Amino acid sequence: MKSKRGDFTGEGLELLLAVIAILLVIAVVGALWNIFVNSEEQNAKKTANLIEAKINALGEGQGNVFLVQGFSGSENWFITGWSKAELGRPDACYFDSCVCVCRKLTGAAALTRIDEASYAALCKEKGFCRIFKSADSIKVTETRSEGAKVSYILLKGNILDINITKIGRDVSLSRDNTLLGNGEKTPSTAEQKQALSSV
Amino acid sequence: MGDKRGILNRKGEMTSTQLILLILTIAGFVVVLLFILAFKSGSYTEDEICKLSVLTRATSPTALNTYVPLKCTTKKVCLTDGSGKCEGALAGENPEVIKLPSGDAAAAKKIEEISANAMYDCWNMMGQGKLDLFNGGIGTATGVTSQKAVSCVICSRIAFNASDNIIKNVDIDSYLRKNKVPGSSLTYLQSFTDAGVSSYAAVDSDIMTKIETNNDVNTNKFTFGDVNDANQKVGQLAVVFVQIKPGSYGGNLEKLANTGIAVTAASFLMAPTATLRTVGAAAGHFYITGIAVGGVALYSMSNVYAGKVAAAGYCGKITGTAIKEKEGWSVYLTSNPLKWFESGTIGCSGVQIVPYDVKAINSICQSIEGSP
Repeated sequence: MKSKRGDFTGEGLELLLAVIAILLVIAVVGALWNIFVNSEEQNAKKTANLIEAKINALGEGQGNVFLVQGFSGSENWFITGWSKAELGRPDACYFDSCVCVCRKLTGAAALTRIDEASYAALCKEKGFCRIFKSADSIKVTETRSEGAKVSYILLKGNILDINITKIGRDVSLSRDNTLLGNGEKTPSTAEQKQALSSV
Repeated sequence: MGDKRGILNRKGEMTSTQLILLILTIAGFVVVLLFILAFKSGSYTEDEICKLSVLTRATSPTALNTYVPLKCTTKKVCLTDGSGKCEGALAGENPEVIKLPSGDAAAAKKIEEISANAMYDCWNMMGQGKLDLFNGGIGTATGVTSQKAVSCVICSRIAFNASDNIIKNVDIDSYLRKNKVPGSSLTYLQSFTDAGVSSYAAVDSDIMTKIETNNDVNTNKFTFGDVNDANQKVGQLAVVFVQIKPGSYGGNLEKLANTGIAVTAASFLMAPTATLRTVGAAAGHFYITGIAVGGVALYSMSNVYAGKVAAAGYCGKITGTAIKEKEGWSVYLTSNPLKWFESGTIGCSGVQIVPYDVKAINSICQSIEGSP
């Protein structure tokens, strides 16, 4: 493998080193991607786990307000849910009721996905669903100003309060955004439309 | 051709020097990979991971640093007198459960100690307020997007399963002022500011009048633990690290001043004990340190729990030329006018203990980073 002058020769060695170097670069980039880019997804997953824990902590007939802490990128996610009997649920819900934390589309793509059926598609693409075998129905609603009700709750960049109640086999997650006095601004009509179109 | 000979010899073969360089490069990659794997495998504690991510973000290029996530997970602590484990407030969140000693005074002291340590740990973990952690990334650097005004990290949440009598005895402000940090000759208050500080900033009477007469104050009034307390007798405090950025001082502090809890942030700016501090000759930077607590407490005292909130802060500037006092700040600057810089990185950082409540947190933080 050495020439008379002591230099390494052979294209085979160079090729081998090049392959090793490329593999290492891919591994490092992959690991960094997991640490940095996946952080938002990990936090969304944590949020889904937290909501699951809060629902499970409630006894029959109980309700409470829980706070959902925001994270970097949390405005890109929303909470929604499906009842056992509803059609078009994400596969992750199997045959049960479920609550999902899913990533909404952003930019131009968001405008083409405004119907309810698209929630499931979004959750299938990127979402974390938690099933509740003991619940027949799951209802997720957010009341916005001007009385509009939407069947999802957008996460916020700071703190969000969600009212969770468990009555019989029905679980409801709701948020009344029309109430003032909690330090937050009621979204304008334009902001609401923007929010709706981006889910 | 001459250049080419520098890489390969005449036969196009790799020389031993080049091979060594290549091997060293590969070894470098391996080291980085091992570091990353260790980072992921849990070899580091949560605090170490948080510190590393803070340093990584602070030392990254401005345009990129916002994309470096802060890997700081909110710690959950349950302080209990033995009657429960904060199930209502921290269900499913694996809190560290600490049993309070018997006796109201001893239990209150323990709460003060844990809260003060949580503030201190948070402050240290976030670089003592001297690191620029929320600069908005490439969007802000290029002027395409505006920067979020007030960003926060919630370092800890402290929930209580304790009687009202215990809570009423808690005085974190006083504890910070009178007690020394373990292993240090400085009190907590001095550690947050500097050794010359021994008391909190006085509250300007104009500000208090403004607070008391402002209608927004009344509508934004919060009650500690009003989310959970009514039914479960469990309240929660949050240790929040806050950083306020350039261009947002006036408006945001004005806004913050409308809520009792957040006036602590505003009161950084009227700290009569402000001192100049040199931080690193190499950097050539200097900072103005301010501290104020008490101020807001006047308003908050109407509520026995909210009166226990505490804050410590640090306002700094990282450029060399003082230009003029910012307009619109005079209300905050009456005690001790501070000169501010028009350009460069400037910011106020603070660590506050506030009720873990939508009203309290959202009136301070427009965005939260770290992990829930």
